[in-house]
Amino acid sequence: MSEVRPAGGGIERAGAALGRRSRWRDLLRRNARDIGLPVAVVALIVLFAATSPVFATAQNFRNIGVAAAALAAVSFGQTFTILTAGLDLSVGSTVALVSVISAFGMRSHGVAAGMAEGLLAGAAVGLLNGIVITRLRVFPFIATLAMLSIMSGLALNLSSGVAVSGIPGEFGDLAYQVVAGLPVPVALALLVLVVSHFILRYTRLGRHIYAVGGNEEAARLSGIRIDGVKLAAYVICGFCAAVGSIILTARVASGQPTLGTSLPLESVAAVVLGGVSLFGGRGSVVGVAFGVAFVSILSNGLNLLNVSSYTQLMVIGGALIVAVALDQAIVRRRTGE
Amino acid sequence: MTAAVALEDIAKDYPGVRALSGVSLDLRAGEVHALVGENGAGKSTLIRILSGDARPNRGRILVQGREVQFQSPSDARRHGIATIFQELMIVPGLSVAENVVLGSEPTLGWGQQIYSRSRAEQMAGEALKSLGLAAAIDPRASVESLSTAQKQIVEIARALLRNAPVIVLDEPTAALSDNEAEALLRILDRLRGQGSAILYVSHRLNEVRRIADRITVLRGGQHIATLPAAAVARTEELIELMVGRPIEELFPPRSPARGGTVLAVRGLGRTGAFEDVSFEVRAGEILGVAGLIGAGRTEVMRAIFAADPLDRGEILKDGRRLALRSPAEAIASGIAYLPEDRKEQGLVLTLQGHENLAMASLERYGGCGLVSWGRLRRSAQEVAARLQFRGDLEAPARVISGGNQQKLVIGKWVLSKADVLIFDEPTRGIDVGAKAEVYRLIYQLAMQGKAVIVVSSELPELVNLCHRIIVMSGGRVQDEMDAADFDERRILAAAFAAHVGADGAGERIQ
Repeated sequence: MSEVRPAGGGIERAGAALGRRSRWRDLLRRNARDIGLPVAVVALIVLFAATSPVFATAQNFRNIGVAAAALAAVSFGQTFTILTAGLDLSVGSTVALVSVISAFGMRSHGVAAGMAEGLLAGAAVGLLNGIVITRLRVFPFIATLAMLSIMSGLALNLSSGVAVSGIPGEFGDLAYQVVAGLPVPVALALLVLVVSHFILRYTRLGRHIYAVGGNEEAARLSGIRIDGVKLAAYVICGFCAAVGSIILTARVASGQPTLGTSLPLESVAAVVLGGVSLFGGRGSVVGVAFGVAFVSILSNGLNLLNVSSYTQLMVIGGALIVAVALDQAIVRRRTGE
Repeated sequence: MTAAVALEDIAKDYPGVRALSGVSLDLRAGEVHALVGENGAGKSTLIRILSGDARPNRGRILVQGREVQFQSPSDARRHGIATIFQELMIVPGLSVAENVVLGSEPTLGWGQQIYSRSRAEQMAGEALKSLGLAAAIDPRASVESLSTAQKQIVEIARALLRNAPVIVLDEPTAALSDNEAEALLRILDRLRGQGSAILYVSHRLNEVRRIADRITVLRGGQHIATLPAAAVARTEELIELMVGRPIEELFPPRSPARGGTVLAVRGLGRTGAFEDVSFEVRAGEILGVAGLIGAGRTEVMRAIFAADPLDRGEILKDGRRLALRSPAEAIASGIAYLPEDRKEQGLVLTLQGHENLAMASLERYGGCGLVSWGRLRRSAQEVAARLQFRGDLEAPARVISGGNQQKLVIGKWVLSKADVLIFDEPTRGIDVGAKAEVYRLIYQLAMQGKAVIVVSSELPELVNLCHRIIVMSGGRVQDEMDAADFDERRILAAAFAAHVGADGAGERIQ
């Protein structure tokens, strides 16, 4: 028995391998939240590719991309407000308002000016949200819920409740043009993603957003101007919603006062699925991109399987609950039972 | 005699960490058993196991000699173990009585569904009476009107009401001033006399020696010793058992040099909080601020830092009058404030260590609103090394130990290049080894010529660290003395100045 002992480093090597494996497990367990969603997205793709012959085609992926682009832009903006431990429910009617305003603008001043007016209007709604929240001290939930109603009414008033037509055809074509191999909407959404990621990670404002959301009092006592940071987050959110609105407006080629009614839920769902904490201070836009992918692929796949859009509403709501419940379970397990 | 509760050979693993390995401990009726150890020694884990919040990987729990398993905190409570955590389980919107009866509300009517307010108030009153506090706390009062010390009493009353024979207290005096702590100890004396078994966890070793019958020392998850309190001749012996090596000196020498006045405040006042507060701090000086909780010390410091409003008075920095409107402006003027509650006010627990370090000085790591992570990391690492930070800078602040968290908060202000540093309770809830390091850091800052203000409820800390101490009571500065005149009794007398005459100097949890 004593001679069986392996020479020299045998035990150490075995030990190291064991250590490596448990380190992998450890790594996996620690990052379960970050890994979970990409895994779910891949699983979804595999599932739909197996059940639908049309799903795994280049054309369908392009469709998914174009359909996802507006939600993506809105969700990246939403990420900013949720990171500050806030929320913007008004993105739905911001999209509608921007659609109407940019349609009017394009009709009278041309495509570029109309788009600029729309983006400005989106940022202005964000500014208004920010002022109500930081100056009047109204909770983000209430402030933006009220703003949802106000801006929806404004959009309907401006347009008299009907679609604004007469947009230059070249604008509508944008939705189907391709730059650098990507449909324009997808390219726009990617641009928003890159800029958002850069702002959040590499600018002072971005780091302040995480600090304010993580612990407002500590941030204030560290000399961070809380109100300014929150204001900026809502302005960015409004601006991103306007980008989303322009993408949608191009696709329908008219100004729609009822555009984007499902966006408040869908954007919050994408952000939360993407691993951003509703309590603020944790998460990234890259995670949110996966959240958007999940929601969009789910919806596309269900379409291909001829599941009605009514049932889809139920599925997306259910998926949100399941995802958050799983997330909670992971958090509980990691903190020890 | 059968122990009220016995833990046998308990082990507990968390992912990557062995929190406890083979710890045994027994609690006997009519005895106070103290549990001491540095942060990370396994005290919290032991308490979580005892309170049913965590399940051990190995070992047995015996209640009155019978083996039990706790699946949840309510199991532990059913077996008569009441745990009073540092974070108090108080429901803010309710009355004292409702908090005392929480979870065992008296009911009447058919099916016992109607809550009886009068019965609840009577029960709460009786419980408070048996603690000798019937006069001090009104069962009908809103619990929000109570001090931290009184809220603790509410929790103890709750445990009594449930006839819990075993009471576990996790650092009950951490947030209390010396006198409130003393009053709490007297209550524990009383409970011991009535036959309760008490597990008492504290960093305040003098207190432990005063109250405990037996003391158990943990270090690194291991059981080091259980000894009768009478066998411990000096507090240093306990410290050495806890840290596993002789402690040379807890306090650094007093720094010698003192320069000109850096910060002077005159006639500061805010209605209802403090009045007519004047003092000055010189370069290289450590000024201590003593007083009871609620004496207005924190309020004054936060007002100087412009975190809270100021009604009257002026603040002069280097002879120039400051009109500060926000903490951001205070920081720009070179004033730093380290809040008393690091988790609530000092750190962003979700962010990494180096981000917390850089939080008050982000503009230095890049221009045009950009942040260079390379420069940020280098600065953070440099300051962390200087502070002997021993955690992981990449990890979120919530997972590192209290002592290291405090170093992050200190490091934040070292990086901000402030020259007036206000420390509010800098060593609260951190272990002895880390305390010594924090003292050394404060000493080094003073040696570099910074003006330092230390607000503390631990007198030995002030007496050994400071050049000068001012004492506040009832929102006013009552006394001021130089190092040569330091006298704990004189400080205490001044700290009570505003209370004397209220109801003598007796039992006081108010």
